[in-house]
Amino acid sequence: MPIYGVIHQSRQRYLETVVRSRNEVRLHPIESATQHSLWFQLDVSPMAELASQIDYYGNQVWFVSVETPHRELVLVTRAEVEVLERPFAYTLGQPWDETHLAYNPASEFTFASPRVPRLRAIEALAVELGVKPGDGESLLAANTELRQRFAYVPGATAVDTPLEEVLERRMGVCQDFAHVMLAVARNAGWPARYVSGYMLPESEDAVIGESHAWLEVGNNNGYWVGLDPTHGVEARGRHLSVAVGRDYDDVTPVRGAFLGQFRGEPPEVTVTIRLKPVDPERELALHLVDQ
Amino acid sequence: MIAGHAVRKTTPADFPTLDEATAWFQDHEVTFGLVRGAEVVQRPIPFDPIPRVIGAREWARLERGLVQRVLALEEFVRDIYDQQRILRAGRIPAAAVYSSGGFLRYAGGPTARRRGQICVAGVDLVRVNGDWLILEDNLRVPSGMAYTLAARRAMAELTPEAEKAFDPLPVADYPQRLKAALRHRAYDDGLVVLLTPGEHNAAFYEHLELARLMGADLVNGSELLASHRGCWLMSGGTRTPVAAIYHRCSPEYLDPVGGRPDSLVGVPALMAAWKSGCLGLGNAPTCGVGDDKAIFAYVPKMIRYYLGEDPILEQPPTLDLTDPRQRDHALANFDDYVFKPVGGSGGKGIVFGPGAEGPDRAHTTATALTRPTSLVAQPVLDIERLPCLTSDGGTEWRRADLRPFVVMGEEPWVAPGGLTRVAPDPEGWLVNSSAGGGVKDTWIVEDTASQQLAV
Repeated sequence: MPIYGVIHQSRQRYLETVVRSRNEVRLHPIESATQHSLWFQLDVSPMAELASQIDYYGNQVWFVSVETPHRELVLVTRAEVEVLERPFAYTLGQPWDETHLAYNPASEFTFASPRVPRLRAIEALAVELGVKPGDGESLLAANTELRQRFAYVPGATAVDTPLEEVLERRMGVCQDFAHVMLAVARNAGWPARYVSGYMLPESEDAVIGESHAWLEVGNNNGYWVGLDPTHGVEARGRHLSVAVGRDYDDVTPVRGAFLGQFRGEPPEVTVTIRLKPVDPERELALHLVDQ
Repeated sequence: MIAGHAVRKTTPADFPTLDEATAWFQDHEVTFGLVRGAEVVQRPIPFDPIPRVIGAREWARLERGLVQRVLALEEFVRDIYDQQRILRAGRIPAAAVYSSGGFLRYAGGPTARRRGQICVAGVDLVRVNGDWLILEDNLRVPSGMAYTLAARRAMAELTPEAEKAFDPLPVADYPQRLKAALRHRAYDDGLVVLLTPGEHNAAFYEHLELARLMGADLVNGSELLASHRGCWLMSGGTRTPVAAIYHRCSPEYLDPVGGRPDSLVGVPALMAAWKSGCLGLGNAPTCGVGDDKAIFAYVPKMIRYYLGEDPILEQPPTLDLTDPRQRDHALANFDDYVFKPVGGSGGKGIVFGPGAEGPDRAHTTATALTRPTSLVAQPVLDIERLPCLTSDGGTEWRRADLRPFVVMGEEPWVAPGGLTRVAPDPEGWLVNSSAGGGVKDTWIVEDTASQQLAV
């Protein structure tokens, strides 16, 4: 199984020195049938007190508490994750039986959520994309088609741009593509959840990447099928999941507050991802570190 | 009862006059804030001096029913943040829970699964044709007990003979019971504090008074410091550990990091302190999922499911307006129903079918059709009216409810009586203090004594 090394750095600069800060960080790759974290480390500058626990959705959340005055907060996560290269391709197949779905935990993800409200415009978009309720094939086709109708424009939207505006302007970034597709999938009766994570490189060269977002649609056998509308593909084998939730607000990578007078700029984020050469001895060493 | 005396019925003359009662509340600044435009104006809450009297046997049944209900709600809250067994068993429609605004997923984690989510519950009851019915559960920030404590002190001071003669069960140990319940939720030594959103809160009087009676510091968010390691009260350059907080904020505003980022009254990382097991919180931020008006209809099912018991107390049917059959029925019989917004409190947005004007009617109908999850409908009830003094010395009959408080300490304890709220006039339906309603003392007395109060 290939092992990927991820370094994610988030640098938050404040306009003035802040006395202290508190953050909740969701950057710890999730454990699943298709990926396994061998190793994870979170470093914070200035020095911070850290603790972690599992949140409602099963994500690992880190509490980061800084008690010394600072003008910038740097969070660096380093992770090595084994990812199943060719995972079994689950399909959407048959639609859910409504009663069956009501008794399944996946049903939580069929409802509107704070960032993905029920909107008339979504019904119109579903018609435009040819999505038929409960028809998995048409949903997959829409996932491929969306990028023909919406423009991927970095910087076109902010993290808090409402879905209405994205639908109106027909442009956005991966987060917006994921939200639009979540709304379309839920509107067609599928449970669908938001995934934050990274796109994996194909070569062994280090890749300067960025955080990515897509969605997973629950099929009626209880498996999640990944859809990446930004790239118009299924998310399988080349996607590394960090956190899942109903929408972006449930999985915000860094959520924080600080004591000080001025608001800072949004954090600068750099992500480096590298496919590790297979080295059995090193792998063993990593397992030892893990324990 | 009046030992050794001939039994005689009481008259209003046995109780304080309305002027005396009003003056006592004014002098002691027993106030409740009313929203006037952009401001909150504190004014003395109307206090009616004729107490409501309930016999001990009737009360014992209420007490059992209330404890049963709150125990089931506690199980429910923990289950929803854990395995959600009741949903998997199909006893409650998942939609009611998953679309509930009170279900705060970010409160989830190990602490949300622990016993003791509900510290104090306020359950609203009304009497209809002699039977008690439950109308609402309050689990987020149940309020009002300080008004009962004030009413009892006023009665004891103004007409000590009547109070002594009836000898109602005492309520004065409520603050210490509450404090003990908070201590019970603490994991370490330290202060118990009352966290208030500030003096603009309508019930600020209660925050002041309960803090005083509990012997707890009254603090606002800016005086506290929190992290996943604990919580501290900062004053004059020193930090004192806080073991438990009795908070009076909407739970989503407790922490701008672990809750709503736009909160101005919260404390950053307060949720992390609670989630890490370093801080007791009463009530836990999880509780809102249990007192949603859309969930209310299913409490009897919770009692059967979690406790394996039949509900002791009944509640009126609540129509689910997402079901076309129930919705059509409610709209076709508009005059028989009261329509309540699911997320509201303080009587805001409630529409009574019988008195509804054209525009209200049209608006409610439209909402029921377009956003059926935002409303529930309950039958209009012939709620018991209680005698109240008027300013000219006469009496008039006004609708009243009863909000008893259940404190979940080591053992559940129901404060005997609770807050009786009365409508502002004989026509009024709403008893909410924010709608101009007043309060009465509630006396739980020996059954023989209860016979004597007939005004």
